[in-house]
Amino acid sequence: MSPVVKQKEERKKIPAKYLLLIFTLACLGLMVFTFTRDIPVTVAEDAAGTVIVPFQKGITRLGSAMVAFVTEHHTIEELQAENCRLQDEIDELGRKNDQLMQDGYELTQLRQLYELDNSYSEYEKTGATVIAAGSGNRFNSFIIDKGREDGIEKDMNVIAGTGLVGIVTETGKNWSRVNTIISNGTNVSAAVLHSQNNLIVSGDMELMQQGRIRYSQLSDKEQNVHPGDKVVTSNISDKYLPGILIGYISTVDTDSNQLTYSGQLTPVVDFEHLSYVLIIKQKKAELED
Amino acid sequence: MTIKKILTGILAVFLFFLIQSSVLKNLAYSGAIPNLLLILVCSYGYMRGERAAMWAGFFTGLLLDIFGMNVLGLYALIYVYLGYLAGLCHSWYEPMEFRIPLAIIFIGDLMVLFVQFILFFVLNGDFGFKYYLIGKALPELATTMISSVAIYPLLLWIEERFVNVDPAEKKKREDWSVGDLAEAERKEGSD
Repeated sequence: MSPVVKQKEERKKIPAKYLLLIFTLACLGLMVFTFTRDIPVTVAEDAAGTVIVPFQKGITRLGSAMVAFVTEHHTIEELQAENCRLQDEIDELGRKNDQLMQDGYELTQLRQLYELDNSYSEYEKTGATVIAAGSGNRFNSFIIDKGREDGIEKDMNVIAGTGLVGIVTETGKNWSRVNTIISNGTNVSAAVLHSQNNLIVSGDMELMQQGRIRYSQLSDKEQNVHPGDKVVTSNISDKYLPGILIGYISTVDTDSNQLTYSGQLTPVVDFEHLSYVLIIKQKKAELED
Repeated sequence: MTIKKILTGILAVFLFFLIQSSVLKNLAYSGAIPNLLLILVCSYGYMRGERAAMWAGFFTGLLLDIFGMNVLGLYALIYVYLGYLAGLCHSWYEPMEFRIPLAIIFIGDLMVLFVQFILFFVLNGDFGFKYYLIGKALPELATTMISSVAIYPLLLWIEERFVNVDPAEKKKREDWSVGDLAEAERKEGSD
């Protein structure tokens, strides 16, 4: 018999099938354990966090440094064009600012009237950098560089700029995972700002490619909801703080039951270019206590 | 399994995960990103066999689970089976053969994408197969295949240049080939 055949036989003796069985059982066990106990296996997560997260932070920092380096080398024309555009923007922002100051004045007066002092701008916030995307393509979920040690807890709301990004779903020692409102299967109860009509905002990856989110179950008997209206998180949500801007209504369609409306809204957050987010340290559940 | 294989395996899983999650995330919005971890597990299955690929698959899957899932063990299970199936092709291993590993990666990616579709879309009540296919699966498959053309030779080069240079092993192989020749000659002589 040739020794080559013998070598193959030796390899067959290694019980890969048993190893497969062991792995299968281990994985199933892990799944059942993490699913039923509803507590993360913090040992494994902290170990992975300690090893991986510093590198991810480093890579992210390197990446932003490289982006900064590349963008420094714009041509003069590009810069001039940008300057023009920015000038326009400043004008527009100036106008908006005037309006906002007016609104702000009104707001303080109204707050005094209603004794409301719980706008989300007053909650304690902390900033965090996005250091990794969750598994799979697109920003269904992402990892930020702050964790339990920085006081981040599960169910804290995450915003970017002025708009709602999502919610913290898991925390490690030095990292947390944020689930975005655009990911499939995520529902947020919201309300149209000016009329306080309730609606449900549901994540949908297919629509997100066009930069939209789906909403449904909008009850609007007086028909005073129109495209362009602001949509904010509502008071009845059990996890999201009230009054956080989600986006603007872009289409309103009548449902087949003729009672409710559904359609699409444009989020204010640019989910494709998230790099820095703010975490609101006030949780909705504690607010109600 | 030698210590070299274990060390290169750990290092590769670690580096590929970092690249996948941190470097390529910046490209995620411009389209699909290649599934480097799948390329790694499939290549190890082909180059090293079921056991090595299962270990690699388990740890890559676990990392994906920890940083991306609410339940640990799901991706680990998928990647362990991927490693096992890819490892079944190890008996065809030939350093200069590139078609087989690329085919393994192609089929492996198809299977993983299909399982992902079932787990994350159908079970969530979302049957948008057309969108998933065009918007997600095909771009990912394409980028994975394109990058595997570069990555598999790199892994192979590392494997053949640094890992498979155990002198005793080499000598044994030479002895075998000499033995084969001698046997063949003997056969020819007896005919």
